[in-house]
Amino acid sequence: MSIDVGRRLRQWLAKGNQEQHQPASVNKPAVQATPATPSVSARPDEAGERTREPAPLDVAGLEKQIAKLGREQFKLNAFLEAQQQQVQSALQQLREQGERRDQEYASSLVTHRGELAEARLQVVQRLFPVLDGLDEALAAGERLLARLPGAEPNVTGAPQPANRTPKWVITVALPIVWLASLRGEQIGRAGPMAQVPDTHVPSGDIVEWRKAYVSWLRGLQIVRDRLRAVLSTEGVQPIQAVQQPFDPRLHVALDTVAANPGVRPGTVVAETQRGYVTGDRVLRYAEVIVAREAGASPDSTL
Amino acid sequence: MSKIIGIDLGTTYSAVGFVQQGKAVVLPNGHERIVPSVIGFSPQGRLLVGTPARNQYVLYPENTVRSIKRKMGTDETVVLDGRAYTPSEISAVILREMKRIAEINLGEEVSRAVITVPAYFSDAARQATKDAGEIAGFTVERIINEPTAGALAYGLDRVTGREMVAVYDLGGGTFDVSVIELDSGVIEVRASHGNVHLGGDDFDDRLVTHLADQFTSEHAIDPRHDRKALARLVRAAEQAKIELSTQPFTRIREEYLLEKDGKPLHLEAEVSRREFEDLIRDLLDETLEAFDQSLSDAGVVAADLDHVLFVGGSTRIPLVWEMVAEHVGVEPMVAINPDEAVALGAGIQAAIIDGEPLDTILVDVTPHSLGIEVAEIFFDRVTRDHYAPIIHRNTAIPTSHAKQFFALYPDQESVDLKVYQGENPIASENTLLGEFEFSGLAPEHPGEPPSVTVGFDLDLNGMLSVTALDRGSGRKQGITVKAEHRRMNTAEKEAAAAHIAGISSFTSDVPEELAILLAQARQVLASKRQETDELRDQVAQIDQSIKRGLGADEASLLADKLADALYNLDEE
Repeated sequence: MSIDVGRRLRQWLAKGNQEQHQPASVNKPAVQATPATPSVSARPDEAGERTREPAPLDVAGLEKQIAKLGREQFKLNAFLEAQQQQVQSALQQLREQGERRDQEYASSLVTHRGELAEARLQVVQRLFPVLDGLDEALAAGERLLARLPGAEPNVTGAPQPANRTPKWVITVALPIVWLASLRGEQIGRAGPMAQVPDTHVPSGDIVEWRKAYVSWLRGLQIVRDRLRAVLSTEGVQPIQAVQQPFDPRLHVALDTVAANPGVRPGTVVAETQRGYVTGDRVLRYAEVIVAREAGASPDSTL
Repeated sequence: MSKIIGIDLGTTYSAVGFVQQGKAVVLPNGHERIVPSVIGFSPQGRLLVGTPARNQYVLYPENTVRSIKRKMGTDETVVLDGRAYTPSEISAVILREMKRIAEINLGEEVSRAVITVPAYFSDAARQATKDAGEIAGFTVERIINEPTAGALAYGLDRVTGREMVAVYDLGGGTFDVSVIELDSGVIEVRASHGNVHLGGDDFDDRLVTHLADQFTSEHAIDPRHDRKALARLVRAAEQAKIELSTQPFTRIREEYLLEKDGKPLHLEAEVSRREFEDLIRDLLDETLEAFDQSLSDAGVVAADLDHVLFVGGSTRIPLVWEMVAEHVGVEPMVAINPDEAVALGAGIQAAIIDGEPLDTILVDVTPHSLGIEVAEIFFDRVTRDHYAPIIHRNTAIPTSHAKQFFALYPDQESVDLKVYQGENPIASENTLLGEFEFSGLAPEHPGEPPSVTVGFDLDLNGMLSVTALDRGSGRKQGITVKAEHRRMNTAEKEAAAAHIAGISSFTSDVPEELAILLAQARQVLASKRQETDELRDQVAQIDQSIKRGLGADEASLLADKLADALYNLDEE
């Protein structure tokens, strides 16, 4: 809303010039507060009356000044308007920026959570070799136990963990052992087919020593259970591969063996490295040995 | 129209490249960024592509196909599940999988692609690749050479003028070197050489042999004869090789690897980077021979080369960098992920064809080398103030590297570590970023000076973390300093500028008062009221005056007149 001083004054002036004989009340100027226009006023000593005589008014000068005022006013208004527009547009941009920031923050929170979950999985994956090592240690421990005199199956007194190769697999594994012994090596075997060792066992109270050893192994099993629990809490599960049909989405075939009678070709018979999944996602494939058709030639190129 | 993607169709691995928001990226397959170039059929008749196919290879070799790239352009067919397939058809299956990956990532159908081929591919092989793309459902917009893709990934197509570039591609199984010429954006392959059976896998084998021999001499039993032990050894060797790229030593340990006489045997070995380098040096010499052959075929010498680009994961081995740098006299460029360079380059080519305005790829790099001050001993004379860079300039960040140094004297207890940024061989001429005293040193072996391993770890924010490790005492100490980093090529900078709230401001060469009034006048004219012809003329005149140049007084006068005119119009 602009105060159009100039226009009002000019109107008043125009009317004043035209209607010099009109009663005063009609010609009251609409705007009262105009102390800045000294050259135009009802002179205080002639309150309310218009002079009939033309005063020595410099009309042209007045007009010029009014015009100038009007112009200045106009410019000011234009400037104010322009400024207002600037402020509005700046506000708008800041508002939009604020909204964008909010969106970015929200999406970065989501990303952050995703990154955190991923970081945890990375730590868990670093535990896999630790678990591998423990498994190896325990398997070696049980083999060692089996070589001591007084061996009984399942002496460790605890429910066997899932990775113990079941009896029927032993018969499949036999050809490997047989082949290996042809080449003059030894391969450790799990299970009840023990031999009496000829060295390294302290004589004297073997039974006590053996009991201590069994107990010690049991403790290590508990340690392994702890570690498995950590994985489980993080949503990571081992892949149960042995005895399952080979599944390329979960298993990697390292090698094949001829299937024994009763074993369907394509079945996983042994695991060389355990695999892990979390939900649908495979963190590490299970490295396995698979039974193939008896009689089919093995592929020697690994 | 469909977007165009770039596809690196490799012998062992394939990947999809695409430019997203000005940055070239690899589109992943879930958590896999590269997909094995293997297809197969399961016994149930299900088609397998990628890792699942590779997983079954040993079990069903007759139903699985690897490295079909070696057969492209030949008439050989492959029989799968009772049917004969041409190499193009096999590759098409792989390409279709790449298509699926792209579509999942981009959320829309993708039917146009750029596919890469080796520079030495015959016309028949190139045509076979194009056919494969079409069978897969693509319009193959272009077949480009792998070294060309590498050059694009490094942004070299943007340079004006003529440049001679060598692309050194050392992957897992193959080695290729090409000499290419760039001339204002046009790239031409001048020569190409290689060895299709030389790569990172061979380096692993050398390390496996080294470890197995060591084990055998210690325990009189060879782990290579046991299937599982061999698999563990191969895995350990690969892991060690990777670690030695950033660490000067690595410890390899495989517990319960074998058993002898009922006794468990463990592998415990330590390999130094130097030892590993000795194991593979001859293989790298072969690559340099191929390099020279390539230069000679192209009719140029090493001095003619403006750049050497590294492509392929095995170029991460520091010795490769050193040998090539020394042989050629040019610092090889290592600014981007070498495994993905070809895919990224293909993506960039795709974007160029699509007409996207590209400011080459965004890569965060260290603009300067980072290193420490060392003293050199030369014939019993000690000279100080030498600069030993640990991270070379233009290395992509984040990056990590460690080097082994020695104290000067056997009974030395502390060293002064000064961290510098720059290229000057005189350390103090570079920018000092920070320093610290590392004390409490102890020699590893009596009579020898203590060894200090200095590690530099530079993150994306340019924060450099320096750690010093004394192997003798086991002490570790470090500082963190800020190193300069910059973004190369600034599509993001422009985006940031667009973000900043731009408060409209009037042009400074027209006085504000007049400018505001002019703006209003134009508004009035635009509203096309009657009797605005005078105003129109006036505005036109003012515009002319502005063009001629306005003095302050003249501007003021014009402003007044314009205000009057507007004011009068406003009355009516």
